[in-house]
Amino acid sequence: MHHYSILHVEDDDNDALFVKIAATSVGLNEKILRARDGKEAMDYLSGTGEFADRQKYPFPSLVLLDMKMPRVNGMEVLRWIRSEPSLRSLIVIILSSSPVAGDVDTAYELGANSFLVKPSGIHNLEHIFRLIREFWLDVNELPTISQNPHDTNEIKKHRFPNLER
Amino acid sequence: MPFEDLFEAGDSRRLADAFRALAEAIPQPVWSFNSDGRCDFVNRGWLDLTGSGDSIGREWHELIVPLHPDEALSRWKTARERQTGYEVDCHIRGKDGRDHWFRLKAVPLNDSDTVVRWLAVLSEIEPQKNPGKIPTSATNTGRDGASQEEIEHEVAARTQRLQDTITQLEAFAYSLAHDMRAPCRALTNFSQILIRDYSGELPGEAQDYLERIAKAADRLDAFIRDLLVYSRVAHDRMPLNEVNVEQLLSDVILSSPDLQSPQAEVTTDSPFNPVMANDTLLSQCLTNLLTNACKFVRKGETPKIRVFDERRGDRVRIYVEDNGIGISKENQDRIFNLFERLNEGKTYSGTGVGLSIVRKAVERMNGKVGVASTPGDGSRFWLELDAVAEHD
Repeated sequence: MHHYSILHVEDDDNDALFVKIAATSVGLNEKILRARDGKEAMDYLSGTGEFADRQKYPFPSLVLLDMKMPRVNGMEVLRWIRSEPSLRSLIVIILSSSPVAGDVDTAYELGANSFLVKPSGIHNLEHIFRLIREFWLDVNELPTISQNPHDTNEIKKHRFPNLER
Repeated sequence: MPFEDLFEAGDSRRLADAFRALAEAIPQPVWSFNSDGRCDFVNRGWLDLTGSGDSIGREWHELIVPLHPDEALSRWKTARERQTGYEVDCHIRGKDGRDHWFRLKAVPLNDSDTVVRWLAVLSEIEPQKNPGKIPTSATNTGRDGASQEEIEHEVAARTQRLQDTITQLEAFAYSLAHDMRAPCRALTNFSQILIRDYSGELPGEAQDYLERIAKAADRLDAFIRDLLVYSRVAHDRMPLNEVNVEQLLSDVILSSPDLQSPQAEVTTDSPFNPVMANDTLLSQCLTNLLTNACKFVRKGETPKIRVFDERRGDRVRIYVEDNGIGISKENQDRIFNLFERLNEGKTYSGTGVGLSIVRKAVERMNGKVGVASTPGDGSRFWLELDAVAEHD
């Protein structure tokens, strides 16, 4: 068992469920953590309140971030992550409904690592999750903050399953 | 004698003759009145309109019915104090028994520092139906034509308000389409998950219903997607620059399996003239035209499409020619309208937005779009864009 985890920041329950289903289809079950809006995402990442329990709420390998959300929107969360020295290197992938004019450029300017559009059709979402897993989690080197220091060996062992084959 | 010399000579009789000749020549009513406002001259235009012979000696405001009598008098008062022109909207009972609406425009004639005379011209205006409202244009006017400026200002302000309303409506349409995506996605995904994971447990009829839900949701999604593209094409900033059409065409074809063998035979007659365009817009246009060319073929036939261009002066026409079902003459103008679909029903699916996107995109590139077609014998769509100016 490996220790990838993905923080999915999403206010829409249906979309959150689809992400869970798609993640399960590529073997990332139990690895999807959810924040219901931007504010909750900030609390989660900073370990505020109940999120201080890192056993229950582990620090994520990457963040999947919706744009349009109540309270604090995705762009603000992204700006905040990039302004926090302890979070700056965290991988942030935007998973947006459909990009409003200028959103894509703004997100990259603010330091997003990738910008994805939520597809219609569960097969398409599963395809995206296969790509996310293969590229961002298996092939890509994760920043230090996303590596659990106690399980380094295990993470390393499982990070390149494709290469070991 | 040159016209200016009349004034330099200071020959008042000549001047008076000149004024009288001018006033009699124009069809509009013209008056002259003294500093107290008493009329001492009316022209033929006035007599023709009113048939009234007793205007001389009466005050100007007695000759008309001002739209706002109090306002008219206060303008007159202010105009006298400031020695500036003024305007009044009014109606006049003509000798034909009908009311005619006019805008009176009066200007002062000065001798050193005092006004010795006023000249007034009446121009016919649209009947005024709203006596409660003072038209903004009928305000005191300076000799520098401030009132014209005010009219222009008002027109500009109104245009701005209309533009703002359109922008708001479009933003609303966009946000509506955008917000419809999530529920639409939910429909598509849940029905797909049910079909995939639970179809074994469902009776055939229930499966059929699910398929129908999935299909309807797909159609809705395609519709929303196209509307969002249309909205982006219409409103995003789209700068124009030199575009390599060959490269763009090859990218468009490579990115869509439907445009490649064996689904379709697309030939491109290289080389292509470079054009002034926007990459995103032009590739959207070519994608839509090529996709359409592939779609509207007789059942079982392989689409054969040829893309070529032609230099026409400082413009370039890019043609997309197909072997499809063609479009009748009377429908050729309609097809570029938003939501217009000629083939209702099952044979050819679509949202009726694709060609509207093309037209809108081409317009934004200072271009034109058109089609020539014979039903049953294929269509030839064209885009015309600015050629790249030749460098020395």
